Amino acid sequence: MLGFLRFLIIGFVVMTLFYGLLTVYVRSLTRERLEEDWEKEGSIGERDAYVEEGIKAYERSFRPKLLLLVYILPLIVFAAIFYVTNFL
Amino acid sequence: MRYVKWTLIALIVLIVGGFAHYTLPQHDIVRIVNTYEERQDISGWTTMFWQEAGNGTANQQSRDVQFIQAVRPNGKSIVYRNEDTGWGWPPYFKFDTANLYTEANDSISTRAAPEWVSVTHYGWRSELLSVFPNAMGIKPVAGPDVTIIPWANIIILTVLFLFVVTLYRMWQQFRQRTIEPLVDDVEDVLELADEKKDSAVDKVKGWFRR
Repeated sequence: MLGFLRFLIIGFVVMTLFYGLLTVYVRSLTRERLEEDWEKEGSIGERDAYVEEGIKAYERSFRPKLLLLVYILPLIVFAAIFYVTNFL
Repeated sequence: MRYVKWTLIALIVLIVGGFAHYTLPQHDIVRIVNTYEERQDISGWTTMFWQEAGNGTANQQSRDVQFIQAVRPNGKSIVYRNEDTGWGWPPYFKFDTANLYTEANDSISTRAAPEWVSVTHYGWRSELLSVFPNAMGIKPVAGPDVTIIPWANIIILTVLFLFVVTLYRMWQQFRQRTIEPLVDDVEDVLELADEKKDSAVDKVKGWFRR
């Protein structure tokens, strides 16, 4: 039981760490893309306002929620390994 | 300096490669000849080649361990241990040790009428250190010459590679977008300070020229 708890806690901490890193990384990529888009569209209007609006649109969209797969995929992998090892 | 660098790189490759080779699953095609249980007094640094205590089956460093004896097609012998990995490392989540022991006993065959099986295992066999690979699964195969495609290893190593690439890309992005602008700012400030100093020096020089 203690081993299970340790596994759960370590797993959760590692996944959360990776989730945080991915969140920051993808937002940074989005920001970079928005900055490039602003230039491509002919640098019309305020650059920061354009980027901030784009970031807000990104955060409202479904894409950041996809990052929750960081929690779901390892769970599926765990279930698969557990099944293959013990019941196959 | 070059030697130091290459020694370090070789060492890292050796450690990572060795770790992967020890931990990842492998398939042996063998004929199982016997199983036995033996009391093991596990101590010293080779403890890390055994499952840790407290996996539900063992609570101490002196315990009975199940073994599976087998013979390879070339006649050489190989002995596996049969231990739960439980929730510990490596993450195989093996709890069916007793079932595997039954399967192993069910697969025993003689030299005259061999029944070949593929034993999935991880770990190394070292006669010198009394270290045994841990058997994970037993599957009957058609003969001693069948080839088994290591799908699990292909998938694990691919995912691991993608993971490392992602981490590297993250670091690159962080450096490009966060560290470099910061460094540029600092450089600007330093340059400004330098100019100020220069002008101050000129001023002082000007005083003396007068």
